[in-house]
Amino acid sequence: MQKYYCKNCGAELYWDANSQSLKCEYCDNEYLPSDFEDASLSKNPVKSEEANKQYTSAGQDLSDDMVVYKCNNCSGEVIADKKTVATVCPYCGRALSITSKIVGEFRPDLVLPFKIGKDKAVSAYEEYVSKSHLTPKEFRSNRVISKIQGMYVPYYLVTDTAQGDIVYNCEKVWSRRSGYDKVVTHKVYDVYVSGVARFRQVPGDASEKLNDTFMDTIEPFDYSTISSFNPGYMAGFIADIADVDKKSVVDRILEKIKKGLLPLLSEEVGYWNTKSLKSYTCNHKGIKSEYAMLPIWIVSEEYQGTIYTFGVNGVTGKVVGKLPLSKSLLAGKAGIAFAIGFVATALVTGISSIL
Amino acid sequence: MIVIVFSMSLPVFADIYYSEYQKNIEGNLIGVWDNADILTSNEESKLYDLAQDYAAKCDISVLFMTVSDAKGKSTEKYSDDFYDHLLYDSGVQYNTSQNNKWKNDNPGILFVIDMDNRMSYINTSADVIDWLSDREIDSCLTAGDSYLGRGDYYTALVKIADESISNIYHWKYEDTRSNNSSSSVSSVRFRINWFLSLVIGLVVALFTGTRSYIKENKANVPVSSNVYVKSNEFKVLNREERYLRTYETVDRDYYKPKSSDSSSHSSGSSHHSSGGHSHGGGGHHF
Repeated sequence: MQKYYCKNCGAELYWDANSQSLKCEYCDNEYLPSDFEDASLSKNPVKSEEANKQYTSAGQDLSDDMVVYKCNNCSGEVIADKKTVATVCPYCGRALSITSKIVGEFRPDLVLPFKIGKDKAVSAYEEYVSKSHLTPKEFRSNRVISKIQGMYVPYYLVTDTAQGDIVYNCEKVWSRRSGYDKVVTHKVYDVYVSGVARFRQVPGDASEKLNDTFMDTIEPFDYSTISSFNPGYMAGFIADIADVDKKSVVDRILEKIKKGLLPLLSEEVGYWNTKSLKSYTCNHKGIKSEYAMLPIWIVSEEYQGTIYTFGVNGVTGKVVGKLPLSKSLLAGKAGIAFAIGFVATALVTGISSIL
Repeated sequence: MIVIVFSMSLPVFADIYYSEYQKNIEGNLIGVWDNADILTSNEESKLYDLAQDYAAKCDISVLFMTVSDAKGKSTEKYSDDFYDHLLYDSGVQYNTSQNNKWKNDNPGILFVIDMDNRMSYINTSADVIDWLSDREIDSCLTAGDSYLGRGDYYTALVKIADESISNIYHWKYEDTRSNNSSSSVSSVRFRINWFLSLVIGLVVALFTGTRSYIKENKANVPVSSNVYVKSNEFKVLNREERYLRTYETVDRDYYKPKSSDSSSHSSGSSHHSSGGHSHGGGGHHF
């Protein structure tokens, strides 16, 4: 498994989001991933079959889905999903990067490094959960907060030139008086708008484990620090390879692009008293897709039989996730509102009857 | 001569106020005056006992009177003046305080058979005006009509009185119909206030609970993909408006003024006697 060591004191290095570098916790030296030659990643991509041979020799199959690896630091046995390319040893806490897997078609093109450190992610999560008075207190507990972990999620980023044509049926309406009657005149038009837009790196998650709609809400990502892939950026985080068919992800992204183009074209229709969409077509040209690892802080907690998952965008700090509702807290809030309404009305009506 | 003149100048009601069947119990006047001499002594005595029972039951004055000569007055006026004299001029200190709207805290009822005007009449005073509506007075008098027709004046008075007292008792003790007494009004008002507080409290609770539920249950909205389009990377290739047609719709009488509804209602009856005091009542001819 791939690790990075400080050139000064030999301590293991981890990715630090605040400094955007691989940082030594002992002597504070900082390095970029490009400072280390990655011997396991050859410049010529290895074919899939050879990649599979490497992966099976590095770990022992436990089942169809799971593999056992040995931690080089403490010799502890680490069980991981076959799609995992980075994880953390549960015994010694060391970051483990399974670089033998990230070769060939499984090697990402790009990686967006974490910009939000764990402390900021925790603060953002706490603020998000605290804004609701009806969220059960266990979601604010240290037990849940300590489960927050940084994860690189496999995505496909699609760049596409989309051309669309829309037709709206529109009316201009005005009225006049004729005796006691109101006469309304309607002028009907068809409005045609044709336009083209370049959509750059629209993301679609390629992990079957994570809900697509949930992942769509954590966008947008700021790509200003996106880099060519280097496993050094993943030190200290968990990561999976893409396990969803690329074509299906790209098709879903193209559908997102089609939906995104419509409001841009509709705005050009202009102001009318009434308008309704008659037809819409969209063509995609120059489709380019890239496989990227995007950063997310993630935590899940079960409450009353339902699993609630929260995500913090590792670049922008945006927090998403459906907040659970405590029925007892809701009932308590309604009860207090009832008491206030009852007492206030009784006081007002009592005072008015005295007066 | 002087004596005769003096005697002639005595108030016209002088002799008629005397009754051996008259008493004042705890501020309630009870009496039977058979000035028309249409009742036997036995019947007078029975009416007196009845008046006592009714007065105790409803805590009001109960009076029976027959009239032979109304001195040119209507039964209403005659009975008003008779009643006023008893309350205000007789020298007996009845509670005629100003605390209620009738300015008379001595509720009572006077049952009259006027042989001069051929009328049976009920005269009410103070709160009894509210406890006995015009419709109920009419119904009570109807109870005695058939007996008056055959000259059974005692039974007619008993029937009228029975019906009247029954209504008064019901409205005074068993129902809180708007009798306008201050205690029943405040009781009704208290209930209305309590009910209003309950309803408003429930509305506030429902509004707060629903608003909180909707707010907390709001799902995060997926971001539109057009955030990945730079402003200079969207271009309109063509825009065209094609005219199809024109049509008109007509809303008839849209500007015609609407007529307003009117309604009217009758009010209850109370009147003022010549002495300026409030009375209620009604009568039937026989």
